[in-house]
Amino acid sequence: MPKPSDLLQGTLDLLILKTISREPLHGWGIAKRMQMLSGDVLSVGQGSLYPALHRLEQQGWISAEWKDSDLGRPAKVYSLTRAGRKQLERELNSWRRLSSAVHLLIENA
Amino acid sequence: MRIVRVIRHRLRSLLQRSRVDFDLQREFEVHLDQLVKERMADGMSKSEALLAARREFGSVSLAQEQCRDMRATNLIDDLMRDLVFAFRGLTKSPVFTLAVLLSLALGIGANAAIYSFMDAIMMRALPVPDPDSLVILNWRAKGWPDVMKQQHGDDNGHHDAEGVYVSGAFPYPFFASAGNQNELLSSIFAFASAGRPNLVIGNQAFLGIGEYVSGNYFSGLGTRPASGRLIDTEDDRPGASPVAVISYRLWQQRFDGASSAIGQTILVNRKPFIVGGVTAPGFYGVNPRDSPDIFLPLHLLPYVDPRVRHDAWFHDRNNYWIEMMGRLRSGTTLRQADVAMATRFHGFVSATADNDKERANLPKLWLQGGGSGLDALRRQYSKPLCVLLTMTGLILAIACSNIANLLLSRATGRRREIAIRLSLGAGRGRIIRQLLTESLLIAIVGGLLGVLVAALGIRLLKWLLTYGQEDFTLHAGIDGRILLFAIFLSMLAGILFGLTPAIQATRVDLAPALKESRVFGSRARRFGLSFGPTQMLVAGQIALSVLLVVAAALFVKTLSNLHSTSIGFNTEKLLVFNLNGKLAGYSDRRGTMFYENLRQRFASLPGVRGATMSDIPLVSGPEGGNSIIVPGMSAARNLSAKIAVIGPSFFETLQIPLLLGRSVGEQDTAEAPRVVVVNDVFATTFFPGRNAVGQHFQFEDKPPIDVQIVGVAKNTRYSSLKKETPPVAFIPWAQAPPGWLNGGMYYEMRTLGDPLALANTVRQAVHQASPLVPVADVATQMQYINSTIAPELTFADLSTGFGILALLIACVGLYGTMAYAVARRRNEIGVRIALGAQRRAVIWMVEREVLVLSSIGIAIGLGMAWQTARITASFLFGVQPNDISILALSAAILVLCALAAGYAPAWRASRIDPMQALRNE
Repeated sequence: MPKPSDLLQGTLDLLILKTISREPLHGWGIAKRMQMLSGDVLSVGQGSLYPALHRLEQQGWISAEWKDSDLGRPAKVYSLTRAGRKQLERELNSWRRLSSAVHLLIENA
Repeated sequence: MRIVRVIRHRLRSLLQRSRVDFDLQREFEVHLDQLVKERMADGMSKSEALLAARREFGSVSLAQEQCRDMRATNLIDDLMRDLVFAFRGLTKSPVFTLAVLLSLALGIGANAAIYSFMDAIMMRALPVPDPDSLVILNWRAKGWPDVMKQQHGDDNGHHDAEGVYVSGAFPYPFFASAGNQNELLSSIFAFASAGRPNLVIGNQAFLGIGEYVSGNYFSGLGTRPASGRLIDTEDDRPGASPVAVISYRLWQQRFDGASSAIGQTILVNRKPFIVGGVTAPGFYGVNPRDSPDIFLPLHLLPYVDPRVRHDAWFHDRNNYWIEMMGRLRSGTTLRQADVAMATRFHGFVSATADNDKERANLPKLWLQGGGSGLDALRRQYSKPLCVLLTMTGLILAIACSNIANLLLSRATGRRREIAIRLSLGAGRGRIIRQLLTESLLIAIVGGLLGVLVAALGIRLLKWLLTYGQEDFTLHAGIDGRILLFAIFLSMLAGILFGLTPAIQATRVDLAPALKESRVFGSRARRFGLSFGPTQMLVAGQIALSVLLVVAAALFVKTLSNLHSTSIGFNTEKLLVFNLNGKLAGYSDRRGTMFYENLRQRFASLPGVRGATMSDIPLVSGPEGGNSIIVPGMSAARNLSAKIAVIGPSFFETLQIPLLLGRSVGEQDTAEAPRVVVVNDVFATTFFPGRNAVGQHFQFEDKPPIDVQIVGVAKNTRYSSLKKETPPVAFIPWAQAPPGWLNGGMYYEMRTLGDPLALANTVRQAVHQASPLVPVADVATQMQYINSTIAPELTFADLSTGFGILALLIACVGLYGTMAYAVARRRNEIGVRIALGAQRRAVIWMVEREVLVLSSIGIAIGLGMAWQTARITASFLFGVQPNDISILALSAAILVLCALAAGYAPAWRASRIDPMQALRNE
């Protein structure tokens, strides 16, 4: 079974959580937003976004609802749950620790 | 919160799979459409845009699959799929599946029902604290020990299989001495049956079950009262104020469980007692057979029964009547206590022996574990129950063979499919799991049905085992243990009989299995008869069925022998009941008047053609005999005759023909000359070749009672269907010597309609005559007689049922096997028919295989029946366990059933259209 993406799994989760933390978004919107914010650097195979979304939903971090959307038709809109918000905090913190550690390592190596 | 969300989500993924999949599809569509729109806005054509969108999105089906994996319900999903698959597979052959299920349900149900009785009778511990430290005191001797001058009590004493006399009855003085300062037993308590005393509560009189108990009985057992207090040592001494303890059941029934019951006065055999307390719910004394309604202090025995002299019962060291139990001190073993108590008892009995003859055979004490109480019931039922449990075990084995057969044939039929799946990379474990799911599905459904069958079976068994015994209480029912037993059995059956075929099916050599043609089946299995596991199972089933059919035939033959014995009087529409005027204070002269007045009253009731009375019910009563002296016959021959005390119109009501002379009637008063009617056996035994009417003989008594024979009646059975008619003398009730009517009077009423419909009328009539006299044992004459052959009836009924069941189940197995074999050989048979084989020859070809299989099974079965003959011998009457005609009959039944079971597949084989069969591939 091929890996969902080249991104570190945790990183993709973090990105999704962060993306929908501002406002609820559908899958298309999340993909667009991530593409836009990262300046096309992190180009995710768009299909592989969905397994991640489903996993997050399965774990109760996010919830989904079919709603009318800006696309002119109903779409499945994902929003952060309360538990998801806490999870985002935790993941951000650990990300910050990791990245600063890596940063330190690279600077001083 | 999160947990709730997660669970809800998972449930949704699990239960609404298609909905979830559909949602996923839509979600992807939205995304893809959006991509296409964007590309088209960039100026691509629609088809280019579609391709680009697909590229950008990646594989849709892969993403879908990954999303499904994310839902992580695979295990359950697989199980569901397996279940659905198994269900579909099983419903494809619904008849066979149903038959297998039903046979499993019956097998498990029958086992669970019998087991619940075994459990209740043989294994259940007394409901008291620490039952394992209880011990029962018994003794044994070579035959009746001469130091025992008297013995009282119903169950006390019996000869065991080796002729050793075993008893639990002891003289009271031994109890008194044993209880003092015992270093091994913390307490020794005693009890004795009080029989069925007449209880009066309020203005209701009825017969209850009574037990005399020593003052430390309740404290020794460690049980607590549900209300009030229990009997203690202060209550159990001569002259103590009479206090009784009633059972929880009696308390509920007669006092509605009111606490005001404590302190009330009730009458026990007309003697007032104060209700002191109520036993704990579920407490039934120490004998699982009966639940006493009332417990009385041991020393009040002479108060309740004036015939009992205190000295003779409490000081006579040769009068054996009380039973004893004790409790081991902690740290003491049964063995230690056994040795110590045996020594003590030996010292006691040695001193009571007067001469060498008595000293030669002294009773020896032995201790027995008492955790489950006295074993009278176990003695009575353990062997019948073991036989029944063996029978149901065999049925279960036959039923399980059917499961194995079904699974084996299904697995063989799917060899190719399984080989394909294995070669495509399916794990062996996964396939075994799937096959096991199938067998467990059968097992679970079968087991659940089995519990239903058991619930019905227990009620049926209770009814069968208690034939005519109103006071019989058995604590059997469906409970957790029975459920566990049933589940355990069905799981065992499912796994044991499912795993082997499953493992076998997956252990295939792939290449040949794949090459195997659907039509010709495996090369390994030659045409014609082959003796594989399936055939072995069927032969085994038939062998076991033979055993059960032989047993059924033997028991039915026994019953028909019993029923065809000529009873000697008309038992149709005859109501019988007992009442005892003595319990209401009517004795001797007043008693005979009371009985006769009631009899006349009964005879005048509407719907009654005639009424009479006797001191014992015929064919179903105890034996009462007396030595007689016949003029001209040597007294050294120890002549004796059985006795029945009878009322007016006895022979007329029972329709016993008088051969000579007259009946006894109202003219035969106490003052008139003493007369008797004798039966034919009496006349021919004691007055051979002479007219017995007018002859005199004497009952041995002090002084001897001289009587004249006034009539000779035709023979009737006296006390049992199984015993030959003894010489009987019928004595008119008014001339019965004092004390002969202590057991009360049985009335026999010939009715126009259903005898039992008159039961209430009778009760009212008696209540009017005397509210203190209870009517007991109301039943028809046939019920009375049937109660004497209850074990035979039970065996005949159950074993017939079991035999038919076994036959059915085995035939189902045979049918399935043959049907399957024919289906597999469809092509071959088609070829044979195409080449000119006669249809009859085809039928014969299949039936021949059936015959060979069943012959092997029958041969094995008859061999087993021969071997096990002696086990059943003791339950038979008038038939030998290896009766050739019975064995032959059973074999014939089996062959016929087998041929019948095989006929349907054989017929179908003969109807195979060769064209179709050959075109099939």
